[in-house]
Amino acid sequence: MVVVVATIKSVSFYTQNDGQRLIYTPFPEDTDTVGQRAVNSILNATIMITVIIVMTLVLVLLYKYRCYKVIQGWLFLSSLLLLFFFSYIYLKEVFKTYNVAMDYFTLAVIIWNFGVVGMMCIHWKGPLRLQQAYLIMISALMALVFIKYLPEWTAWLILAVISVYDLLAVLCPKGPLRILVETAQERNEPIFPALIYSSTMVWLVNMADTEWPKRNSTEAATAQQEDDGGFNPSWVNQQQHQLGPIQSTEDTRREIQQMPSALWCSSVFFRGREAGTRRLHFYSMLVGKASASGDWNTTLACFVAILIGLCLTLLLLAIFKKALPALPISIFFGLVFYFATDNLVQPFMDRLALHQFYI
Amino acid sequence: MNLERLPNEEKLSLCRKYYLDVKRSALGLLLWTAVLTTWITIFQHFRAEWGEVGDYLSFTIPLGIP
Repeated sequence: MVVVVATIKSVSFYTQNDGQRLIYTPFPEDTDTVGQRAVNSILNATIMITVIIVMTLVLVLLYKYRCYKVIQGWLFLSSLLLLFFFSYIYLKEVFKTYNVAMDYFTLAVIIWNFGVVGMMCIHWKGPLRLQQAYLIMISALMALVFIKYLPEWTAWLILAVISVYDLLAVLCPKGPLRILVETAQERNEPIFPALIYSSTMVWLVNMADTEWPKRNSTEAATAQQEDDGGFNPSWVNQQQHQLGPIQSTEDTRREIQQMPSALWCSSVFFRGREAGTRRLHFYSMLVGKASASGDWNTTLACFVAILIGLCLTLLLLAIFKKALPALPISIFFGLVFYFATDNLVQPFMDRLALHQFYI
Repeated sequence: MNLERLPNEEKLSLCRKYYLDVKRSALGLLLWTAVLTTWITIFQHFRAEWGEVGDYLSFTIPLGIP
């Protein structure tokens, strides 16, 4: 989380609107009337959501018909792209901002090392902390890319719609994630390292949660109660991986089902901290946008809101003992807080400071 | 290969092998740090004087007077 915030502080580079748009959002937002803008942003958001849904369905189909190679190749390619290309762009922006000269040679060394270690950590073996760190960095990168290239209203709308979709996809019996998990259960297969949902190279891959249960499976057994509590967060984490950046939902889930229940002592704790990558990605997007358009109060409020949402979700998980999407609650809180703070608290604080009136 | 089931001598030899790798890796690190530091100092110092070549090698060029 801290890494996310730190990255967001430097988000200022990414808020320059150079007029470039992702091909998924073909409608511009600097139109003349408010109504026009609203319609455009709704259309943009619809397109993105449709893309995401299609991706999920494609993934489910691929999985059902055992086209594992395709999925693996996809994952590999997308993580490759992310690690090398996006970090290249990121470094470029950072150096430009701090007005530091950098030569191609050193840059090549840095990026090469970063990328190769990342690929190894994610797709092969590596120390757990490193893997987590990589996943965090990758989600932050993705969030930054999104913030830069999505116009304002579209971004907010997408956040809202994603939460709703998450809710639906997880809880409805026809949801693609459900199907995936059930298929996995039927086949009783070992965890599949990092599935990918999106067809575009832009989406990320996440292995953390897959690895997590593997490593934690050797921990001591815990009380039954904790097991349930542990089961759910990890399940949730998997749900987080649903779409977009992160993967491995099915994997983690399957793993959980396969493992004897008495394994989640530390994993409970870790799961709570190690948010699903996709969730992380969207959270960072939210906070990033907040910091881009507001000032510190708003950012802090959003941050707090997300944390509260996270805790609430964990609580709900423990109560319901079912798979729940963690995205909606936190994002909902985040959004509410953001808009409330931006419109209500900020002018209030400004007025107070102006009149030197201390409460 | 389960770590606990290995007899002691094999564990020792395994440790030795890994230790050698760690040593080699440390050596590599030192070497690379030295090489990179020298190159970076040279580059930053002489970048302006090299004129075109300096610009060509540069990834980002800072604004202002060097």
